[in-house]
This record gives sequence, C-alpha cells and structure tokens, in this order.
Amino acid sequence: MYKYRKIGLVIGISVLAAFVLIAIFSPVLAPYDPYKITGAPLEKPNRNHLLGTNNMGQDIFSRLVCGTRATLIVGFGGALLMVLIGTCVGIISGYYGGKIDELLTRAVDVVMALPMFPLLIMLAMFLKPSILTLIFLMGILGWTGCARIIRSQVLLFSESNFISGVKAIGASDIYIMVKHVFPNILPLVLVKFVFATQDCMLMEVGLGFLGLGDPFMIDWGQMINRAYIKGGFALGLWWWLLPPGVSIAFLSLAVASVGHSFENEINPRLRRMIL
Amino acid sequence: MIEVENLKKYFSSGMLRKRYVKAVDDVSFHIEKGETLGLVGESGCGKTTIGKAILKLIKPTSGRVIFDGVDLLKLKKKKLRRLRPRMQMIFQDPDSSLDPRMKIGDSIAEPLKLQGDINKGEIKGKILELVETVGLNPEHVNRYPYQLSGGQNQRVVLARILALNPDFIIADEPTSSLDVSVQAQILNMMNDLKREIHLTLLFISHDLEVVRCMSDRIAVMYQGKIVEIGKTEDIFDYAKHPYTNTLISPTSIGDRVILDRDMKNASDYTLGCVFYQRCPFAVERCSKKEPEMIEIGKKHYVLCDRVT
Amino acid sequence: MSVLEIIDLKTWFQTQDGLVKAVNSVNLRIEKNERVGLVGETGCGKTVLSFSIIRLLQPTTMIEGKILYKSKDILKLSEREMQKIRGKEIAMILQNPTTALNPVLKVGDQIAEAIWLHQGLKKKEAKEKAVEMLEAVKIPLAEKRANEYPHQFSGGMKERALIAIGLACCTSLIIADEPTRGLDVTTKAQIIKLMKDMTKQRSMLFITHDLEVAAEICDNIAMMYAGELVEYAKTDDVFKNPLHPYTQGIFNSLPNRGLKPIKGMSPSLIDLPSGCRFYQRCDYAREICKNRHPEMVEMENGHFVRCLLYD
Repeated sequence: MYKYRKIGLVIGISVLAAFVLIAIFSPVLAPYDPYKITGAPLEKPNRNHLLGTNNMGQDIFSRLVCGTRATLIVGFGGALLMVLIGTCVGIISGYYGGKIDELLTRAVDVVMALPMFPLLIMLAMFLKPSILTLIFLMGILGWTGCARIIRSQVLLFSESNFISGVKAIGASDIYIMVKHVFPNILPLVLVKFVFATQDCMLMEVGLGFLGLGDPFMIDWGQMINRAYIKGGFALGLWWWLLPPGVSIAFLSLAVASVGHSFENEINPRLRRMIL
Repeated sequence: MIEVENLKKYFSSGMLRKRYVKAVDDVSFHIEKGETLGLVGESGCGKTTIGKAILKLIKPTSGRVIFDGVDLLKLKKKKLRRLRPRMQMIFQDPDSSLDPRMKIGDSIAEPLKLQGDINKGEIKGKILELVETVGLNPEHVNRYPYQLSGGQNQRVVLARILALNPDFIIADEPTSSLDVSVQAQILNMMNDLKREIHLTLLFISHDLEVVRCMSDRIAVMYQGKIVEIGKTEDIFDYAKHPYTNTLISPTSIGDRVILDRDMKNASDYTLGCVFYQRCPFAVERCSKKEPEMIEIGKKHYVLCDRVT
Repeated sequence: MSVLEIIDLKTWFQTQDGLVKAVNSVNLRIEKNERVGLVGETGCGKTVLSFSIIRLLQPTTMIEGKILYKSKDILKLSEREMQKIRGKEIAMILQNPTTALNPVLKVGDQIAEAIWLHQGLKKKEAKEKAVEMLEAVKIPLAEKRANEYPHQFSGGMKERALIAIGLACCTSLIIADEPTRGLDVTTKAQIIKLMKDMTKQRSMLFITHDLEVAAEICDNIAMMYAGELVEYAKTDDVFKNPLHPYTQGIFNSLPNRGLKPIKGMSPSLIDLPSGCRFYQRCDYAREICKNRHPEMVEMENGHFVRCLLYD
C-alpha cells in the first residue's frame, strides 16, 4: 500500500512536471505558429503535422502545446488565490473565535450557497474574459471549502497548550498566527491547493468549451469547442477532438494523484499532532 | 506577590435560555513572594480555569487579580503583553505544550527572541545553559517534541519558561501524565529551582501527596469554590472540611457519598453548601444557607457551617 | 491447573524507526482464582503483552513462544476459534473509558451485546442481565441508566460500565488494562474497591503503572521493565522486601516515600542494552552488569528476581 502511494506520487509529479515544461517551452516545442495556416484543412496526422490540422489548416499539435499554458496558469493561479483567501479567513476565524468567527462563518455560508459554476459562467460572460479575470473570479468564489476545513483544524489546536504557552510568553496574535498556527496547517493547505488546482483546471477547460475563455489565448476547451461546432464529432475527425480531451484528462489525473499521495502522507502526521 | 479577589468565571450555554456553569465561583486567595500554594481538587472542579483566568488566558467573569500591585484584569492588551513574561504556566500534557513543528532548541529560544536585544551567539549560549539546568543533553536541541518522551518534553517546557526569568509560575498538573519515577525527577527539579531562584508557585494537582511535597500552603477546591485553605501540615493533620477528609483518606468514604454525585454541574442548585449532596454530615440547614469562610486556626480557613 | 501460562513469549514488531522488541522471553503463570498485577512504566511493553494474549495485534507482529490457556496454545488457534474465546473466556477491560464505549449506543445495549454474542440468550433476557450487571457494579437507578448514552455518564460511571461489560459473561480470565488511569482520587478508590470485590473468585491479569493500586487488588505482582519481567512475588513480599533495584527505585520515587527519583530514563525498546537493562540507572551497578544479562532466579519461596546482585 505504502509503495503503491509512492508510485502514484512519482508518476503524478512526473506527468505534471512534463506539462509544466511543455507550457514553459511551448514556443520552442511547437513546430508551427499555432495561429498560422500551415497546411490543408483537416489533414490526417502525417509526417508534417503530427496530429493533423483543423478545419482552417492550423497545426493541431502546435495548438495543443501552446494551449497548455492557459490551463496551467488558470489552474495554479486560481488555486493560489482560493487557498490564500481560504487560509487567511480560516486562520483568523478559528484563532479568534467569538464574534469574528461567527461573522466569517456566516460569510463562508453565504458564498458557499452560491452555485459556483453557473455564476462563473454568468460573470465570465459579463466581464471581459481574460485569464486574470478568470483567476480572480475562481479565487473569490471558490475559497469557502478551504476556509472551512482550515478553520476546523485551527479550532482544534488553538485551544491546545502550546498556543496558550506562546501567548503567556507575551507574543502578539499576529506573531502566533504566522509563526505557530500557519506552519502547523501548512500540510493541509498544500493538499487543498493541489485539489483546488485540479478544480480550476477543469473549470478553465469547461469555460473554454463554452466559449468563455480568453479569446487571445489558445486553450484546450476552446479547441474542443471549435471541433464540436464545426462538426468534428459528426464527421468522426478523432485527431481534432481527442488530443485536447486526452491532455486535460491526463493532467487532471496527475494532479489528483499528487493530491491523494500528499493527503495520505500528511494525514497520520496531522492525527498525531492532534492527539 | 499575587492576590486573587472574588474571582468568578461562569460559562454560559444555550441560545435563548442561558444556563450558567460556575467553573470558578467567588474565589479569593493570595500567595506571598517565594511561597508555593498547592491547589487540590478533582477533575472538573475548576482548578485549571483558575490558573488560566489568573494569567488572563481566558477572560474571567468578574473579580480582581493583583500581581505586584497591578490589577491584571483592568490592564490594556499591550501592557498585559509586556507583563506576561513575568508570569508563566506549565500545562498538564507536555506533548501538546510545544509546537510540534519547532525543534526543541527553537522552542527554548523563542521567548528570548521575543524579548529582543540579544544576539545569536548569546542565544545559543543561553539555550545550552538552560538545557543543562533542566537536565537535558545538548544533543536534544535539534530534535522535535515527538522524538522525546513526556518527561523530557516537560523539561523543555520548563527550560522555555525559565528563559524568561519569571517571578510567578502556575504549574497545572505538570506530572500527572508521567510515570512515578519521572514524576519524582521533575518534582525534585522544581523544588531545587524554587530554592535557587525564589520562585513563587501555584501548584495545581489532583494528587494530594504530590501537592504535599511541593507546597507551603494548600487550598482545597470543590465545585468552583475553595472549601479549605491552610498550611500544609494543618491540612494534613487538622483537616476540618469533610471533603478534605475524603481526599486524605479516600477509602474511608462510603459508596453512597460518591455515587450520589449525579449532578454534573453547579448550575443545578442555587442555595446551600456546594458539598451538601455528598456530605456525610449534612443537616437540613446546609441545603438552605450558603456557608461562609471561617478562620479556625492561624492562616487556616474552612468553608463549612458545622465546624466550630 | 493454571488458567494461563505464558512460556518464553517474545513479541516484536517492525516500525519506521526499527524493530521494537516489546516483550522478551516473558514467563508468567496465572492460577485459578489468582489475581496477578503486571506493573511497569509507560513503554515497558505491558500493553503489548496483554494484546498478545488476546491476539489483538497487527498480523505482521512476530510472536514466538507459547501462551497456554487452559493447556491450549492460543497462538495456534485460528481467528475463528479465537473470536469464541475473546469476551466469552478471556475478557478485556480497556483503559480510557471515554473512547472504549461506543458513543451512539445506549450503555445497557452495549452490555447486552456482549452477553448475547456469547451466551445464546434472547435479546430481552440479555437486556435484563445487563441491568443486573449495572446493579452489580453499583450504578444507582440501573434500569434508567441502562437506557442512557455514554456521554450522560461520568468518568467513574463509564469505567464501571466497562467493568460490567468485561464481567458480563462468566469468563475464566480477565485482563484489565489500567482501569484506574485518569480517574480522581475518590473515584479511583471506589473503582479499586469494586474491582477487588467483583474479581474475588476470578483469575485476572491486572495491568497498571501504579504499584499501590496493584497492591490493593492483586495477590501477586510482576514487575516489568524494558520488555522483560524483573521481579515476581507475592504482593506482601514485594512491598516488604523489594529485591530488584528498579522496584526499590519505584518505591522511593513515590511522593509519600521520599520522592527520590531513579536517575536517567528507560531504554528504548528498539535499542536495548546487551547486559542488564537497568544497568545505566542502577545505583548498585557493577562492571559485570554491563555485559552479562541476568536470568530470573528464585530467592525465597516464590520470590523471583532478575538481578546479578542475587546471583
């Protein structure tokens, strides 16, 4: 069991690292300019076009490689913002307790009650869609789950002796939160971050598919959308449809496997701490 | 040195119909400089609450705590923070008293760093000095709390506290989770320290024998109230309160007395003596009128109407 | 015939930090109607020993030696056969009353469960028996209390309920693991008295870190240190004439007997010293103790000690 988890982690991290490298070096890796027409429309995969071309004659492989960026940026960026807000709210809420806690918990409940994806679609439609808007929207809509879990974790040990001990030394609240509370929930924050990344990636592709992605960037969702609208499904043009779909599936699986490995690794330690 | 006057801490529960649990009910005592007061009572009698309330780690409902002439409960947050290093608390469970993610050395260094104006070399020297004072090896400095035993962790807690040169320490069951042989080591060390640096100590425990070894005076607590307070010898030789007697010789007390203790909190009654329901000598008037503290000897007070 | 005979038992298990040699060549016998106290400090292997007897250890644990229960070797029984013995023949009273009871089941039902699992009674009869048991452990208003949940019980009452579960079936051996830990002085005194009364005609292995508690209840005391027994004798003999320096040290550590500590700390069960395991902490240690591991020797009638001083 232990070995199996390790394998999952190694595979997950390697796949993830591969995608990150592809995203960073996409201009070098892509054989053609993804926007330029470099071949005949709807070419099957061949020596010149590894994955064929789309209806406009653009190279699908190049588009796939360049599309990696958008998904990764939105995935990591959105998750970072989510976890940042969630952790701050969670720590403050759990540490201070009382009225502050009540207020923040209500806020969490309210935001949590909002249906996230539909709201995201609406807001993305109204606001000018860009990568930054997407990250911002995901961040301010998706922090609640993280805040809740962090709060309960902080509650568990803000009563514990060592916190009282540090208080008795004469440390300020902010010092205690930064120096003692945060490091102790860091593993949990990491796990939350990884899973949030997966969510954000999937949402990004979903929005792209609905045509709500950043119009100035190529992204996988948008690629599937194009293929779908222009009849890729109906005509059975698999090389047009499959690559972005398979990519997001792989990426998402890799992230999930990293997340689960982290979670398993951390849980016994968290438990020991609480005990 | 420290004076506690009419300290009260009620915990409320329930949203609409508030119910109060009197964890600490109108407790007064004082501790002289260099003196150790032992506080004895069963679990849930409010002794830990007293400790935390004195240090204002929880907010008392009312009362006064005067430390070195200053009323702590009226103090502003900032001033309190400056005063806090002079009063410290040792908690019952040593393993949870240290940040699990901090190395032992960092834990001991933390109070020094928070005090400021001390350079790295000095800190290092001071840590080694403290580690030696509490009987640990220098090699322990780089370990984490979970790698040490309970007794060793309690030593670390002590070292950390001594780093501050406190005037007053509250020790809340510091050895109740330790083995007897380790308990003896820690208690002996505390006794030595007391002599060397003239500590003032409030020693809280459920174990009367342990308190006897440590204290100059003993206060016995029951259901949020101090029922008897006096010199250690007086408490052992001339205990007057029936509850103190059950603690001194627990086997002498009958089944009825223990098992009638069905009431879980102090909110169920308002009148009368706190010990009424368990007291083998209770008479009618004990349930009607709250007893008052009577002085029955030199520095020896009892909360019981039937002692004359 | 002895109820339980442990012969040369070794229980070792692997952890991340290394091989833990928790129980090493322990020999112990419990006769019918005899109560043996197993006394030792945290981490000396006493709980592992008790779990070896009822076989509640991880399957990866290495157990060697023999545990004869009424002449049957428990270690050779199948899991199925073992289930029949647990609870019915050998009962275990666990420490920590707050977690040993199921919080969502009524106390009475939990006792009844133990009864009908093994005695083939109808549920209603089992329930009646459960109330009887609660009365036997002196819980007032037993009938009403049986229908309450564990959180409505105080710590002492939960311990009583656990004892009731342990004693509900007519077991031939009781293993009690620190039933008085964490209880207040007065409650503790009551539980000790109860345990003593309830186990009068029974065989029991009573595990505790508290010599004085063991003395109240047990006929014989076995001192355990660093995974092995170091002294075994009648309770009176241990109190009047403790032979092993460790036993003497524990006595001297007691607050009412001078509060003189034993120096140092117990060795880790992963890294045991080769000679006498008490060597580094012993005031009487000689050169020979460092390298030679002492054997258990009988000093007087039934008073055993593992120390080279008496060799």
